[in-house]
Amino acid sequence: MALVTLKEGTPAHRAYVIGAWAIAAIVLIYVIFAYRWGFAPGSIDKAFRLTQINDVICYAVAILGLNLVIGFSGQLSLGHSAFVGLGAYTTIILVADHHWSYLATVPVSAALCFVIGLVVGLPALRIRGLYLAVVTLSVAYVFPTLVVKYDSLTGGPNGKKPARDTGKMNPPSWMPFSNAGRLASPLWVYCILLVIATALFLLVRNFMKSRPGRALLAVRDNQTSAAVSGINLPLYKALTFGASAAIGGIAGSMLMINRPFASDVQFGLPLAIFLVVGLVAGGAGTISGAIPGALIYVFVPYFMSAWTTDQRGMPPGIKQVTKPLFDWLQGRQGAGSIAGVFFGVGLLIFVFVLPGGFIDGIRRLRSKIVQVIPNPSWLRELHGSANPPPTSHSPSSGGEVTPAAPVVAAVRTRVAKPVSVKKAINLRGKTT
Amino acid sequence: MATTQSVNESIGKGYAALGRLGQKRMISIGVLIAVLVAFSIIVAVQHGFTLFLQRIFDGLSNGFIYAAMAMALVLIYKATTVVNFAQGEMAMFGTFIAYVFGHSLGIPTPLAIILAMLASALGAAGIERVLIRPFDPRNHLAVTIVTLGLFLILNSLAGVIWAYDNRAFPSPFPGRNRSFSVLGANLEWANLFTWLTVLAAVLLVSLLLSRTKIGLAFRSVSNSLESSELLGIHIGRTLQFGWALAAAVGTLAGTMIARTTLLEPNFMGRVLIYSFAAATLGGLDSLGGAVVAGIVIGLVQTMSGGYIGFIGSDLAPTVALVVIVAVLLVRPSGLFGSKRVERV
Repeated sequence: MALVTLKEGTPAHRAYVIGAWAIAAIVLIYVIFAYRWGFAPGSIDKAFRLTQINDVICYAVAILGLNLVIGFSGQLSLGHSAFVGLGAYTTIILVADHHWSYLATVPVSAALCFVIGLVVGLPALRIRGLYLAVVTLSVAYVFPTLVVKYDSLTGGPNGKKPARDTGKMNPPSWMPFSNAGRLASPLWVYCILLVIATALFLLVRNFMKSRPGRALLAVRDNQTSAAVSGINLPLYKALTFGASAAIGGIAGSMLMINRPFASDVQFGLPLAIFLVVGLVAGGAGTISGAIPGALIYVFVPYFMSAWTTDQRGMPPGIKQVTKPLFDWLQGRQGAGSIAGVFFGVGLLIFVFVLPGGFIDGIRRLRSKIVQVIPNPSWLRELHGSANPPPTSHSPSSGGEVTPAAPVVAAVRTRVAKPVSVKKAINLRGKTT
Repeated sequence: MATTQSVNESIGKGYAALGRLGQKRMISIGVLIAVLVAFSIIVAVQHGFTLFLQRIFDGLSNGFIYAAMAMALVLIYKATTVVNFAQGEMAMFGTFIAYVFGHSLGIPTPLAIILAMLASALGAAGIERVLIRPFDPRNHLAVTIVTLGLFLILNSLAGVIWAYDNRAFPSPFPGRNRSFSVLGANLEWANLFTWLTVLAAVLLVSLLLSRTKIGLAFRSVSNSLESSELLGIHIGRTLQFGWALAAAVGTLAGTMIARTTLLEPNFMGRVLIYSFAAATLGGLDSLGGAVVAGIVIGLVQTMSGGYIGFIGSDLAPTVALVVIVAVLLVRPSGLFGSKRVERV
């Protein structure tokens, strides 16, 4: 049993929810001011670490987009790196060759990727399952070859970057860090990326609670039943692919805002696979899972390859255990790719031990401490106040109402107020 | 009376529909062949027959290798109903093992390849037992993620062990770099031997599946898991057999490829994409389809790259992608794949 039980809608529960969000907001805002005190762990260059944090935001958005296709609509797409790359190249080409500002390119790459995503998603209407996985995988493989082929536009294998300081992001003077020198620009980028990412996360979260969002879940859980229930499968599948590609494209633009350099190797098959790894590690089908997924994607390879050359930065507890391994790796030519082995093993461990990913583990842990008893708003409205619905202790129900009260209430609602039936269905969709 | 008649009628209609289904498949295959033949005639007339024959030979050399890899993919798909994304890396690892046997231990190359095939079959059987069998075969996402994890592990492990240098893989065939002329076009002896080896492997695998008891069990399991279980077939061991067989075929294909390209941990990437295309084009559960489609993909790649100026070698993967998307739009389960019937 949980240590604390909270009933939904009570002041205590409200305080719990607001407190959790406040802590998340404080952590995110802390980054802005942390440059004064440095970033834990290690004595790394602050601007570099900030750029890495910005990378995390971008990849979190990319994984969020991928989640829409894999986690929420159940279609296995392995070609998301191509959309991220397309968005990135759209931004970099518009900025470098046509002197647009970075932010103005974001809607353009979103729209372009939406259209291309629809086109790639068209096969998804007829192809399903692993056939689709293979097709999208070849999209991921083909994208870098196209970049190399049209090198007059994309810069080819040499990469493309705008001329020095073109459209550089400088904070306005009212920001508290505008005089932070070299750090001012990455800090301002952090703020911008954070705003974009927050908007997208909220958008996806609310979308999944809406009617089309629930339709998507129905398609994932049983396609045939969903079609029988009147869900337009082709429409939903194509639109999901398009929307997911658009979010991927925005992630690509965000990557370019952070590091204005694009080359073909960045957006190849490895990125496609690592995005899936991040998705599974964070938690497929969860919105917040994109954040731990992106953290793992950015920081694990970095530390792994750093430790193959220098073991001093390693946390002391791990150091003794892994020393022989890293000693053996030291001086080996391909030692940097040990991160791939760890990624693969970690992926297997996740699939075996925590199939729901990191977020699922956190939730299980949390359920040991705090348990929230659902008491949805429509049920509260029914009883005219924020008071809990009648239980066996209250005299009005005569003692025969058991913990199945919400169901009984739902039936009663249907008789009393037809409008609320939809809400009752919504509630059931949420709990199952 | 009237009921019997109507039932008979509807059965007749059902058979007619089945016949039409077969016809549809023949039509789409016919269209594909007609396009290929028309293209061949046009370019043969335009650019000369010798060049055309030369390109056919090159295309076949690629195509047979794709066919072998696609066959390995199909074997695993039939066994586990999952696409093994680690197939190429398993083949790469097997090829490295053959390289170590041949180069460091001094075993003659053909023997080293056979030993490596055995080793990779053992390894794949172990992988199946430890990583694949714990999962419900119907849980596609989990098994697919496991194969992606394997992809990462094998690729990076090979990088850590053997680094990313290019190594020359010795040819297992006699007559090195020698060729003979067929109607003016050159054909390397080694390429001819490659075709024959792959054909022998196809023959051997189909004999193994059609003439042995485990082959019968394998076909039964790939047809219906539940019924096979009821018949008393040991599902796990049968699937293990499928994985081992696929790994051995993959390693054979890997060594055939490494002979022409150079050996390094990423050398299977390009081949794998074409083999995926071939397996998908043929229908993921048809061995014959994989072989035919492998050869078709090889020919399409060489012909389109060779004759259509702007495609060149850069856009050949794009052409392969466009071909499979076009085919899958018309026939969602490939040219020879079996159609799925869904029940609620």
